[in-house]
Order: sequence, then C-alpha cells, then structure tokens
Amino acid sequence: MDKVFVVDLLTASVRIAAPLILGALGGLLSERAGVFAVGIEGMMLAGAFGAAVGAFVTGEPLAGLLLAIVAGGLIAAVVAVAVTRFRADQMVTGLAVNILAFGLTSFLLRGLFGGRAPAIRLETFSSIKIPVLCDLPAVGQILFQQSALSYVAVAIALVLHVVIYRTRAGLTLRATGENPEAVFAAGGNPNRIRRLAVIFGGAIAGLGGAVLALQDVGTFTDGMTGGRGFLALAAVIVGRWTPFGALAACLVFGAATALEVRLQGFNLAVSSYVIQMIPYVLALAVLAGLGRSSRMPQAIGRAYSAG
Amino acid sequence: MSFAGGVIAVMLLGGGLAGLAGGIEVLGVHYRLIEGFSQGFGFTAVAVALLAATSPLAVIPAALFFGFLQAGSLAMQREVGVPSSLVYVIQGLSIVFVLCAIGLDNRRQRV
Repeated sequence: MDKVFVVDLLTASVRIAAPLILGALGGLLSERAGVFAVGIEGMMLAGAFGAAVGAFVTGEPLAGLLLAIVAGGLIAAVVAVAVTRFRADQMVTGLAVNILAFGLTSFLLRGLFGGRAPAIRLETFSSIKIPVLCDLPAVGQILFQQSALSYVAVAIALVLHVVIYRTRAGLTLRATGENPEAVFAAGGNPNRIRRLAVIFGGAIAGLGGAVLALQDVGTFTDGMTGGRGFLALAAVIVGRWTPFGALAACLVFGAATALEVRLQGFNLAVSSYVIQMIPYVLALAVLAGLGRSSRMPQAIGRAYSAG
Repeated sequence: MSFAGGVIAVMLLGGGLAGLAGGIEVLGVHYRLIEGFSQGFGFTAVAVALLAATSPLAVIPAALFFGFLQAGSLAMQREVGVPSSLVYVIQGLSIVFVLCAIGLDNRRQRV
C-alpha cells in the first residue's frame, strides 16, 4: 500500500465518520440520562429529510440545518414523552419511531410536493481548509481539509465532554442515568431531565442526518440512512458511553466503510456483498469482545416514577 | 439448564422460526430469491409480537392487522394516489400508542 492510498483512505474515513459521530453523540446524551437510544436511525433520517427539504425549498443550506435539528428533535420528542409520561418500553419505542420516521419522511416527500417525489439536487458543502494546519504533510489533508459539518461534529464532541464531566448539569445528567431516585431526592426531576436529554440528543442526531443529505449526497431518498443510526448506536457502546470513546469508535467504523468501498474496486475474488459486511461484522465482533460492561448507565431502560 | 444455555437455545429457536418465514416467502410466494425482498419485514414482525402482547395466539390477528394495512396501502396508492408509505406512519404510531397503553397499565397495577 502506498502513501497516497493510505492518506486517501483516512481522509475518506473521517468524512464517512462525521454523520456517525453526530448520531452517536445524540444517542450518548439519551443513554447517559437512562433512555435507550434505539431511535437514532429514525432521528437521523428525519434530520436528513428536514435538511434536504429545507435547503431545497428555501435555497438556503442554513435553513436546512435548522429544519434538520427541529425534525430530529420532534422524533425524539415522541420517544421522550412515551418513555417518561407513559412509561413505554424504551427499546420497542425506539424501533417504532424508526418505522414512523421512515413512513413520515417518505409520505411527506410526496405529500408536500403534490403526490410525486421531487428531484432534489443540492450542491454539497465544499471542504474548508484550516489555514497553516492544512499544509501539514498527510495529517493536513486527513484532518484539516474536511467539510464544515465534520468540524462541527468534533466540536460538539468536545463540548459534550466538558458538559458531561465538568458541569453541574452534566453531573445531574449522569446521575439520572445511574440512579434517578437519588436525583429526585436531591430535588431534581428525573423525567424532565430525561425528556430534555432525549430531545437534545435527537436534535444532534438530526444534524447527523443533515451531514448525509447536505454534505455527502446532496439529496434525500427514502430510508437513506441505511442502518447508520444502528452503527452509531454500536459506537456509543463500543466507546463506553464517553464522547471521545464514541468519536474514536465512529472513526474506526468510518475506516472500515472506506476500506470496504476501496476493496470493491480491487476486483477481489470475493463477492462484493461479503465485503459490504465488513463494518457490521467489525461492530458485532467488537461488541461481542467487550461484553456487557459495568460502564453501562445503571438505570438505563428502567422507567422512573416518583414516589 | 444454565442461563446462557437457555438464552442460546431460545435465540436459535427464534432465528429458526424467522428463517422459516423467509423460506416460505421465497419458496411459496415469489418462487425466486429477490434481493432485499424482506426489507423491513423483521421490524414489522417485532411490532406484531408487541401488539399481540407476546401471546402466540394473538399473533395471528395482529399479523392480519398489519397485513391488511400493507395490502390496503397499495390499493390506496393505486386508486386515490395517496403515497403507500402512509402505512408506515400508521404502523409506527399504533405501536407507540400500544406501548404507552401497556406502560400506563403496568403503573396502575403497581399502585
């Protein structure tokens, strides 16, 4: 393998990882508050839809981003209310909103534009070169010539790390995931904190969908997230529920996907479908290897009721 | 039987039944293996199991309900031009409502 190939591969890894990172960070926020984040896939899909339609209708990518955040947050709000107010099963609620988001985006794409899906073609975000740093050999191309939302993804990881581990709000968030009764005893409202965390998480995951629609593809197609939400969920677990851990896991999954795409071009004597399995087999293997960890938020999946 | 053994046995049985469903679909409905023919079937099946509240007999009417929805959605699109994906919205919402009802019910029993 020559140097150009490796640099090219790593650059693609970072690009592919960007939507996963945002999805994983959104899921992490929800899981840290004690709510399983199975609905990330649906939130990302809604975000991709909001981004594409918002940018398409207004011609303004920023409007698309805003709508992506709102759309992801709205799907998350369904989860938030169902699992707190109505104590619905968290896992299955997540699966249900994935189906709901798939149907809603597909239906609205046709319903909003007179019965037929419009041909949405948007210009994808171009790469931004960070001055000086982008001229570094190899590293410059890999890390400092990415598109805007990739930088945003890393910035949000940093912010979440500081908020979760260095602020009072972060402490309350973690406590809600570990022991909601203690939070209640200390005067907090665990269900309100969970609702906020899930909705904020959905907004971030929605932004992840926007990366797909506005930065990678430039359009919206039915079910375009194609399992990325579940890969992001795996990254939360592999990353031990920490922002930097999730970030690293997403980069590894991104690298596996980038490698998969390149291997297909090599005309190997292996079916391309087998090669397509690489990122998922990797995720499964890492999950099986790690096993059930004590790092998992203790109260996750358990509905909280006062008294 | 050990806990792990039980889990593995149940997963094998469950996977076998799901495989049987796929096999019947290929051998008895399509007569050929179409790539991605089972798209979303699995998730809908989870919804069916949930709607049936994990009672094996109730699975039959629950599955019929989703079957009617799916079949009706195609007719709806053909006849009046309503996008068939509306059926997924109905499916998703009905599952969320059932979950909420079960959740509230559990709470009442506890109090």
